[in-house]
Amino acid sequence: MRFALTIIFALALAACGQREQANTEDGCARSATRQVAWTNADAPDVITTRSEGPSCEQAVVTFVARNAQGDPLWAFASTYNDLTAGGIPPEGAPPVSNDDMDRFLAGWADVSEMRSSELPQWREGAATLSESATTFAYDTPFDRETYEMLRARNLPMICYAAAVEATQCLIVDPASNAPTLLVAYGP
Amino acid sequence: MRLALLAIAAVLAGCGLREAMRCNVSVTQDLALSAADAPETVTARAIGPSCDKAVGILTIHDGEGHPAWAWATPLPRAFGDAFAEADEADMREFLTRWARPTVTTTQSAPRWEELTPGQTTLDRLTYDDIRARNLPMLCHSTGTGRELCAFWEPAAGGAGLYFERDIEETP
Repeated sequence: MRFALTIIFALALAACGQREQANTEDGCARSATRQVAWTNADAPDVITTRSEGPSCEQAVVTFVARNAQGDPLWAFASTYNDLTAGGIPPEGAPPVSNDDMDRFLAGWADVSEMRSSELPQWREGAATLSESATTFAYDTPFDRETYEMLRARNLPMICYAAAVEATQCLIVDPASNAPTLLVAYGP
Repeated sequence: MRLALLAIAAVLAGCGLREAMRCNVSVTQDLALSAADAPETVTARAIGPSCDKAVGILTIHDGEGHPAWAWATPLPRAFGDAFAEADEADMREFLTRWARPTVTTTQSAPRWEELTPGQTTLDRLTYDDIRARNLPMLCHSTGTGRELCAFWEPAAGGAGLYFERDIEETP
């Protein structure tokens, strides 16, 4: 009897494990996590970067920020190749190993923590933010007045890679209390 | 004997609980975007600790399985209260609708003069060129009353963000 129960117990555990494995069956299922004090200085948010695909060369990668309660704050998705080389991989491109992907995901999750006041000023009279900036081309969905107000508030901001040569910076909009894209910049 | 049966029941219950705590739903459908022999596929997926805290990811793969387009959003933020009480069955129903983007061509896109600031990140030259080439274009919902349209570049085998716009929801 004891032997039969042991077998049943083992089968039950195995069946449970099998269902979970089936949900995550993937040739390049990797992830990295990092805590960051962005929306709440006392309860860190969690950045999780993830890859999924039949192979790491064909992986879709996601960037998700959640608050300490697990509510999703921001999500971004792209392909591994778009974020590391741009476009689609050329013929004969070297394979992407799990270690390569782990390094990429760890670096991607390691967002820059900044304050909105560190962004370039949008000078009066300049038609666009980029006209005011000297190093990079900047794009913002806000008009000059709102942009300058948000910059002056010195808000906590995180910046992450959104393409090979493009970065996006997020704040929590004080008016809506929603995570919002403040600028995107690149060469 | 009774203790052993209780232990098995507890293991199975714990296993079920772990699954009930997670929302991981995926729907994949064929999509005839280009004239390639193998159709593209669109996959809509929701992942989160629970369905009311899920992130939605929409991906398009070409006929050879290469990802050509990926887009993600926190579902509760983008689609409002629709997910407040959502379970996996509700989520699957939503994802099935989400995974049916509209397929047209870029000549049906608004003219440059009709765009409002912020609708596209492209410059005028690029925008007009893509429109003139009449490339395949797919538009998918990005939230309540909002969609984005991506153009399909057959030569490169990839897609790019073309523009975004407000839409009227049909009940």
